[in-house]
Amino acid sequence: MRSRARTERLLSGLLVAALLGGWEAVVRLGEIPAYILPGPLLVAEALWRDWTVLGPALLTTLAIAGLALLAAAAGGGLLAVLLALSRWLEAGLLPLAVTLQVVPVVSIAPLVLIYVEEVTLALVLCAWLVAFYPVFSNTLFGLKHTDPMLRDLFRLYGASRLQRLYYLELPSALPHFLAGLRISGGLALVGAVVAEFAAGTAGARAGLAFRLLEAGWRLDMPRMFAALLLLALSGVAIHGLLALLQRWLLGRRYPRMREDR
Amino acid sequence: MIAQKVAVRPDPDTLAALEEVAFVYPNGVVALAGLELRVAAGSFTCLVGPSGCGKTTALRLLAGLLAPSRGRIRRSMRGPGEVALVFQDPTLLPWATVRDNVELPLRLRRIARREARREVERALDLVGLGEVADAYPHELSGGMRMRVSLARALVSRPKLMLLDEPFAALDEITRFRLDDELLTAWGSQGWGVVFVTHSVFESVYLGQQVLVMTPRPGRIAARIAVPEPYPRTPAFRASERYLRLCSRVSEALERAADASA
Repeated sequence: MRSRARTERLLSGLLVAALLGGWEAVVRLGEIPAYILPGPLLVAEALWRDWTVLGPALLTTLAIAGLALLAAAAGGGLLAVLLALSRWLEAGLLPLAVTLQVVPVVSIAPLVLIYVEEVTLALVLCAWLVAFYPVFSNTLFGLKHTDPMLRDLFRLYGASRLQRLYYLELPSALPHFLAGLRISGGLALVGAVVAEFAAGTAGARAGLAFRLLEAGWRLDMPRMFAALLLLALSGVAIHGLLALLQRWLLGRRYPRMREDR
Repeated sequence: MIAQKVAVRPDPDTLAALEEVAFVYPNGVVALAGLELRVAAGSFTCLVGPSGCGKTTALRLLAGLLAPSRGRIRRSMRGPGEVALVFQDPTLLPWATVRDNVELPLRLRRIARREARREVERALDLVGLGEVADAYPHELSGGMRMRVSLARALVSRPKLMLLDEPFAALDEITRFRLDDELLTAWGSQGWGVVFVTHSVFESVYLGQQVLVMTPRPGRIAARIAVPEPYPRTPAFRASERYLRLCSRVSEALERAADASA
């Protein structure tokens, strides 16, 4: 088994190397100019050369996406609990949450940017709007779909509403919450990028999305690709971290939820 | 045999009684019609009947999880934990250890931690689970999981124990062993037991009396006393008396089915 995993890793490494090699070869043999398609070596060089610009931008974008994700986890989780506890709140707020979810963030972002003066906060808010829903709806589903026989048992033992929440519904919802969080992780990054596109923040607080646009205006394709690469790697990193969190929190206790990668 | 009604008298020994109880589900299905059933303290009653005859509904009425559509339910018990219910499925919290699962009824009643732990150890010992107290349900066999479910039922020292085909999903050897363990625990703890089963053989082996139900809508069609003293041993299973009683129960079942067809 172990050697098979190693073979798989080797194969995927070889595949990536072959793709990069092919890319470089196409660019060189086709004599494609760098302002149309830079080769991977040029992109790597741009990443190195422009790190003083791209590094801080990466941090900004990661901070926005990270804050948005945290807020989505807290807000989505709490709101789901409130809605699960109260039918009235659910009837009132669920349509609102769904509406927020279906309105594209690109169209809300300019409004948010008008009303919220602090730009970073506005960006976090936009990213949060995108990231919030999967955590929220998954958690609500988990809270509401507990084993009916266990619910009977809780009734039989005279459990209070809060006891049922604490001992039955929250643990039942945990895997769903984490699955939602993994979707939200990717969306928080998407939200951060889209919001930044809309905001166009320049200067020291510019994020990767702005640097991407800026490089595009200057026809600096290698830097554009470098920024794109950083965005992709950020997405992969967020996904990996959340997978680790999921593994750690579910651990030995939730047998069937562990195997997905 | 003529269908006999179980006498229902005001009686200090009566834990729970169903008097002329009918139950109609919201979808219009009549599950029970005119069911008479009395459970005395310390008694062991088996309920047999074709599937869908309302056995489970009768148990849920006794447990107080359902209210009758017509008729009356009398219960001498008040506090939570005085009635325990065991399902065919072990219905454990998958994320909690054996010990925490067994402790759940006591937690819900806010019993002091130290006392709760003591009661949990007692219950685990009764069903022979002391060794695996820290395991999770998915790490145990089906028979072991059922034992956990039994331990959880008896941890709160109930007066009335309701079992709904508890061992039906287990292999025969395990079921025989659990039948014996249940009888031993009953002998030492003295709960009133209503044991629902679709196995004629199991009902005669376990009960002081076997109540045979008609197909839906369920009523008591026959009451067959099993005058065999306890402790009952596997030798009873091989005896003439046992087989005669089993065939009487089978005949009563057939007659009940024919009468309603």
